[in-house]
Amino acid sequence: MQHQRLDDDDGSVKLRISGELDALTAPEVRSTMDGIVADRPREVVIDLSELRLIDSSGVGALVSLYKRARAQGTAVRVVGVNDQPAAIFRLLRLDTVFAAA
Amino acid sequence: VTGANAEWLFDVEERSPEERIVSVAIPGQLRYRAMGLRMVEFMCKLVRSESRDPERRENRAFDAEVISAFGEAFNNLAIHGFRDWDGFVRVEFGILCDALSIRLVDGGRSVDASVRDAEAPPMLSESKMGWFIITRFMDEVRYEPGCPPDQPNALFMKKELRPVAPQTPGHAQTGGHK
Repeated sequence: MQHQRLDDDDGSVKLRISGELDALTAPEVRSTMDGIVADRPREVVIDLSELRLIDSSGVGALVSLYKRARAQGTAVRVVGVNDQPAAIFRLLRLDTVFAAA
Repeated sequence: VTGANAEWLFDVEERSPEERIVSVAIPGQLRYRAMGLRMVEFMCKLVRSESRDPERRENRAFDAEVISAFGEAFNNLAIHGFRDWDGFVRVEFGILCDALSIRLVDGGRSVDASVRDAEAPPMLSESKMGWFIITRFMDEVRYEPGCPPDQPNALFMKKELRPVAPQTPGHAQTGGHK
């Protein structure tokens, strides 16, 4: 799993996660997520277009970021969800939550 | 599946032209999860490639759902079952006609009933989604808690390869949900 934080001049932050976001790798990205929440950006865009696999631990990390960001008024968008992650999102009804965010 | 049996690693048994059992031993630790997932990925492709029905061969959602279920099952073993000691998981893949079965046999701590909660988690849950994913994505799920080390635990999962489900507007194929 690789992840990258990209800060834009307009006050938004893009978090790009690629590879596998699972029980083994989710703790790695949680510290980056903590930093994003602490910076209180205008918007967070989570780009999952290169995410190949996600499990419930990975979902837990994304949901935690989503809830904390929304609670402080930061907009959250999740883009580029495909294949296995899309199947998990649909099952857990996250596709509608993230699409409406 | 622990101790001396850890030397055992791989086996293929052809029970009939339409039933083969491929068995492999994987260390029950999270860092070996990817090893099991790659095997599941291969087995799903094998089952699809051997289907006589072109509509079933194209059902890639089958792979996504079986991979997801196996990943959660392995997480349970590694995080809960082998929390206090190391051991191996024996994974038996049943390659059937338009179906794949997976049996996980382990000598770890039995998965607690509280973890085996198949109810749909509340919206935006951050945990306790694993067993729900397993039971929703697989057609058959049976768990037999054992009494390790003498009697191992066994989780049996099976999924039928169905024809590709019609797509709904705005959604990619998922197929196969119960």
